[in-house]
Amino acid sequence: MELEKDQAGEAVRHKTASTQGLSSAEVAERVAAGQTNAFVQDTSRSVWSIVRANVLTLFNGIILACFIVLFAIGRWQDALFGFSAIANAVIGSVQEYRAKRALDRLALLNAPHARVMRDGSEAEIALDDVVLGDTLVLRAGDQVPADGLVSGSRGLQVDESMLTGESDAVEKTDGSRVLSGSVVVAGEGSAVVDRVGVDSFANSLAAEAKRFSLVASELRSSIDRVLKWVTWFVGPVALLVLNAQMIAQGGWAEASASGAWREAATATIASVVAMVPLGLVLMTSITFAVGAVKLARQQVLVQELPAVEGLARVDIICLDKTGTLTQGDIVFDAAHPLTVRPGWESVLAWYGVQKDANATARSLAGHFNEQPSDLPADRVPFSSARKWSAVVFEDGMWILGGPEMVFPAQNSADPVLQQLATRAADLATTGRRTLVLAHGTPTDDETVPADAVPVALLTFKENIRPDAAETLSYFAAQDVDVRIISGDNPQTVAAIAREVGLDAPHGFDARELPEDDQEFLEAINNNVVFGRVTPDQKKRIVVALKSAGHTVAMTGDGVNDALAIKEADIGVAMNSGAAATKAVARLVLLDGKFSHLPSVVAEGRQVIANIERVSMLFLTKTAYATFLAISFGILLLPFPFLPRQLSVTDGLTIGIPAFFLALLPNAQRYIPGFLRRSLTFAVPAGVSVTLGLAAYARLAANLQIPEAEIRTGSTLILTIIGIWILVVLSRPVTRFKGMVIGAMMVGLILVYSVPIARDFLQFTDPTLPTALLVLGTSVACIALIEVVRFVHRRVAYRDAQEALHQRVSK
Amino acid sequence: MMTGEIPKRPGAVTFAVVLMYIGGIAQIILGILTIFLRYTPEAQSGGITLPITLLGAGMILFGLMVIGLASGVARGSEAARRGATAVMLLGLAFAVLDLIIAADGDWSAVFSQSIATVAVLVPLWVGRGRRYFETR
Repeated sequence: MELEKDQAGEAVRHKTASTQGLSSAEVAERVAAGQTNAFVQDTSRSVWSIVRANVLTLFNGIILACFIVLFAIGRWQDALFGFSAIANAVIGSVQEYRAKRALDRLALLNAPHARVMRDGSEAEIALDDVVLGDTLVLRAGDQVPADGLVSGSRGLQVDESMLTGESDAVEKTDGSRVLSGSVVVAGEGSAVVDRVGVDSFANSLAAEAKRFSLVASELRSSIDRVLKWVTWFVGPVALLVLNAQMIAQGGWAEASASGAWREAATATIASVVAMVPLGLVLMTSITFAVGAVKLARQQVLVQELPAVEGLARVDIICLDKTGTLTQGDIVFDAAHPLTVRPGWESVLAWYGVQKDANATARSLAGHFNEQPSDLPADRVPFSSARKWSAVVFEDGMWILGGPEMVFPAQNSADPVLQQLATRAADLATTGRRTLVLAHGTPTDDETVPADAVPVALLTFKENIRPDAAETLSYFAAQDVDVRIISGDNPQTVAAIAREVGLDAPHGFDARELPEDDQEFLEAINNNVVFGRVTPDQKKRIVVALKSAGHTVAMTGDGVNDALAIKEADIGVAMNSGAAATKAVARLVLLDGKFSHLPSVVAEGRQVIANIERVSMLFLTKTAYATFLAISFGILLLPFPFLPRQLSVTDGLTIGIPAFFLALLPNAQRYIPGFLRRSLTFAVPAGVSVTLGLAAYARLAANLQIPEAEIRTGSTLILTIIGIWILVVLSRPVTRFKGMVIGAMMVGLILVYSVPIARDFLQFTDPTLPTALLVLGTSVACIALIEVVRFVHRRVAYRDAQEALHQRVSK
Repeated sequence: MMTGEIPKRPGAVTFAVVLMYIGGIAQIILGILTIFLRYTPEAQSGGITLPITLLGAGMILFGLMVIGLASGVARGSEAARRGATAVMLLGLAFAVLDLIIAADGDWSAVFSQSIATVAVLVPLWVGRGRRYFETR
């Protein structure tokens, strides 16, 4: 155990006290010279990149071009879609900006602080305010804010595992270098900063780590792919439609001469605009952003928006023990006296109140209050090699340390020592840590006295988080597997795991993990608890699980978890964790409460299920718009819509309802295959709509029905079918969804009955043949859509079964 | 997330659901027919095509709502059960009102509506049907 004592304490104290730190004037000078630790980390997007992502898109370009053409030919009434594009861009930018601001504010509030000497006294300042030459005051638990040279050390030990891979704490003496991002694990000391900002180790590492991390988002990549297809299609299809429209207007030459080309151009634009799934991108980014803000309210900071999606797919979660199962602090459990020797309680009380005491020693203070009457005559500092420390009082030398280190000779014949060895081993299997307090004649050479006798065996236990069991049972209910990977003793970890309800008969010692990848994976699959895991092994476990097809979440707070957190699909860091760990994590639990994870997962599922539903709406529209344009182009039929009529249909059947549907609660776990699943609905549904409308237009043209009336009828058909698609995709239709759909139906009736709307949309009163055609087409299309939905549900069901099967077979 | 076992829907509730579906579909067909009444010479000459169309559209919406309530009832939604009850009682009230206003002594509408109301509501509020909703 790490208890430490300062051999040259007085000297160091003197030295620290003499270090006045920088004066205000010197600080101001260095700030002016730009020698501060300020470092802009790319935790969120810049305003410009948000605006650019929402405004400067290829689609907005297409829309803008169409918009300009319509204005130029004087058909501004048909340019309605332009406003919806502007609204899309504005809403998207504002929503994302609001999310960014909320997240930035949180990030700022939760930024760690640095302790420095300024004007002769200690000051807590923001990390960014540390300047070159500052004297850092380092204590156990602190994270080193900038690189520096140690100017005073009292048993200063630093964990540099994240930076160097060295898992043992490194002792730092005067003149040695401390690196930013490392964490002080024991002792205290001071260091003079010699590298700040981008030059410091942690920042260069964090920047490096971030550069190569992009959340794999199936949603985002699928949508991008659809957008690419549409971009390729738009040009040729537009030409095809334009040709058909010119011919319908009496041929290219005549239409150009008579001015009827304006009609043809308008119809072409109507067909092109309908193909663009404008709102899809908007809805995706808004849903991500809203998800992130909702999580922020629950004290979860989302560093990358698509991480919200990844959450929905997580099927295995790796937990570091500390900070998730346990609170990370050690509490005193019990003392088991072995030999009668008066005064041992007051020695423990003395250990408990030392300034440089570590967490284990500090927990003694609550139970042993009576301080010794004399001051100690001497101390032996703790060292990681010795694993014990000692103090000399008048009555002799008291040694506190690990039983196996203080009394290494296990085979001694002494019954007390034998008893000590057995009890220590027994207690260790119950997950407790043991220390022995021994007594003997003082030695001068920092060795355990030969006559030392064990006085008391002390047991400590880790403080188990009250919410751990509940959170783990949630994951069990959600079919999310759990693995505990810890650097600690396997038996200790397993005992704790059992205490929180995990089925972990034993802990697997990671030192015995096989080298072979297949055997390694088997070991990971067959065990729940792993102890003595090195940072590299943590990473290897995550990589192995990922390569076996799992979506892996990894949570932890220590620097030793950083490698694994970066490698995991979704890395979750505690806010108390090291900067390097937080920099590579996708999510940061601001209040360090692991119990937020269930709601985080739920939020992810809601986001992805809603985007899938909404994107089916948009993709169906893109599908039917493309097929309509192609088939009307080939059939040389006049395009049966005005752009403004399509804008209204769009708003009633997709734009407005999508807004509401995107934010509904949804607890389904995401099943991979989003694009295939969406397209198995969107493409056949699009074909059905096209078949219906083409048949309608053909029959109506044969019946010599005027074009304005044909358009009135086709708009009605498309809106009815569109609303039906909405109904189909909203099933089960709950009260809220029913209200949204009902409102859209009422909207349809109003659009056709309010005179101003009728006039603007150029609707005419349909005659009986048109009305019958509309009825027939609508009923036929609805029937077809129902068939499509039935088949699509079977596909989705099969996907789900396959996913389940794969999970079971893993 | 539902953790307990989902109770099986009692046959009586299914019967009520089927009745509601039939009623809803009938209402929609009636609504469509009403809309087509606008093409009769009387409506054309009387200038009442718009009111007739709106009436028909309203009937279709109402029919769709009844179907929506039916599917809610099938899922065991308490709100759908209340909605269905309100719709059925409202229908009965309209039949009675019609009887009073028309004063033609034609009890058939009230009679048939009463039977429908009892047939739909009793399975939802009595016995196993009631328990089905209470456990959801």
